[in-house]
This record gives sequence, C-alpha cells and structure tokens, in this order.
Amino acid sequence: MKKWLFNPFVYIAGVRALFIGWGIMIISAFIAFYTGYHFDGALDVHSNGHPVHLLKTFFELFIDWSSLVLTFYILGRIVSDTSFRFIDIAGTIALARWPMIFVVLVTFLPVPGLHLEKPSIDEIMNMMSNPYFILMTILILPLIVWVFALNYNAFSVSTNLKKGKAVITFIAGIIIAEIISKMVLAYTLHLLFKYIIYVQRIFSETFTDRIKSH
Amino acid sequence: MLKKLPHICPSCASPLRVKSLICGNCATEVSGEFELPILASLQPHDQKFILDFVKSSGSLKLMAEKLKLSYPTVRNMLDDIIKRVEQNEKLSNSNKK
Repeated sequence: MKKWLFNPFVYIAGVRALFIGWGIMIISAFIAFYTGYHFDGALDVHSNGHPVHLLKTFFELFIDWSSLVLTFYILGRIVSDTSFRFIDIAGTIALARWPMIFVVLVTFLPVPGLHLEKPSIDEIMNMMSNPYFILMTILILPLIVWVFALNYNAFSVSTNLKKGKAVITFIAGIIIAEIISKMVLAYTLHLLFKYIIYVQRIFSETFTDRIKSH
Repeated sequence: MLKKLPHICPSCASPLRVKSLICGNCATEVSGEFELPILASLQPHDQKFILDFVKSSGSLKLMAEKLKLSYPTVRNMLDDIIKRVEQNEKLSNSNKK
C-alpha cells in the first residue's frame, strides 16, 4: 500500500502512466477552472483573484509538465550511467502530479479574501485567522510533500539514480523547471490569449454576419 | 533448507575457489583448484532473474509483464546485477594478479 501511494512507478510507467496522469490532470484542470485556481509554475497552484480561461489552465498544465519532463530528462542523461527511455520520464512525471487533484479540491473551502489580487494587511490577518484557512493549510501541506515525494520517486525510478546523486539532481531539476515554466508562461501566455481572442472574434463576426444575412 | 554457496572468504574477503567436487551418484571425488563462475558468485535471486531474462529471450518488456513490475524497474534491476557482476569480475581479476 505504501509503495502504491509513494512509489507506484515500480508497477506503472511509460505510456500507461502517461495516460492515467494526463487523465487526472485534465480533471484537475476542470476543477481548478471552476474554483478559480491555476497552475502558474512547475508545481504551483495559485489564485490571482479572477477566473482563469479554461484553455489557459490546460496550457499552464502542459508547460508545467513539459518543463519538468525536459529538465529531468536532460539532467538524467548527464548524471545517470544507465540508458533510460523518454516515455518513462514523461509518463511517471505525469502520474506523479495526481495528488494535485486533492489540492484543487481543497480550494473549495470558503476562505474569505483568498481570491483577492492585492489584499490589505487587515484582509490577510482576517484570512489567516479563519478556521477554513487553517484547515486548508493543514490539508495542503502533506499533499505538497506527497507530490514532491512522488516526483522524486518518478525521477529516481526512471533514471535509476539513487541516494545523494538523485537528491541533488532532483532539487536542481525542480528549481530549473520552476524557472523555465515561469519564464515560458510569462512570455507566451499573452500570445496565446491574443490568438484566442482573435479566433473568438472571427467566430463571433461570422456568426453575426450569418444572422444579419438571414 | 537451501544452502547458500559461499563465494567470499569470511577471513580475508577474497573470492573462494572450489577444492573438490563429488559425484552425487557414486560419490567419486575430484580434487583440484577450480574457479567459481562469475554467475555463481551472485545472490540466488539475481541468478533467478538472469535465468528468467534468458528464458524471456532477453526482452525486458516480457520480464516486466511476468514480474508485474514496470519497465524501468526491471531495467534498474538488470543494471544493478550488471554492476555486481562487474564488481565481482574486478575482485576476481585483482586476486589473479
């Protein structure tokens, strides 16, 4: 049971893990969209005060996952002596994100002020003393530890790295992936949104033209 | 109880050699100094893994299905056995010198 919870990659990897992982990621994207949360970094879940476009949530998830996969793959190639498959890294890292579904479920808790973009000190103090906020923190902390443990085991099993070598490479990988995902999201999200708005405008124009012609 | 074949000297940690062999049928004994094959110096579970691997035509995918483990786990097991074989080879070569 412990192995299934913290290291399911001993039993599942490759394409199977990729499909299960992405299936759960898509469900968590829908929940996050509903609760107004988004994945703005390799292993981040935040709310910035306003609802996020569903496509943006999917795009963020893809960037987060691919930055982790590429970073771990390149680092693994450099550090590990064994030859490993790309699909194993891609699959296990996708599956390692599965507790994120619980993280987004916890965001259903009604914490006042959590969705404010720039809360005042009073609002922050009020939020922190709220019992739901305390409960949210208690629930989210072990989930974050769980996600990190799963990601470490995914990396360790896929690249056959162990002990100190694995720990150092994993920490470096998480930091690099976080920086890459943040940079890619910062530089490409506005382009994606310009494109979405452009497509939406074309569709609405065509639709109005058709109504007018009738 | 299945006896484990010792391959390392408990006194000086050098690889052990075979001094005599006996026929299970007529009890004829052969004496001399024979080297243990490298595979015999592995643990029984490693030897079983190698036998299964050969029987699976060297396919890690088949091995993974048989053992109900993931592909990278089976590959890691094989990598660890390769490391142990290399260590034993080194030890045996250094003793020959």
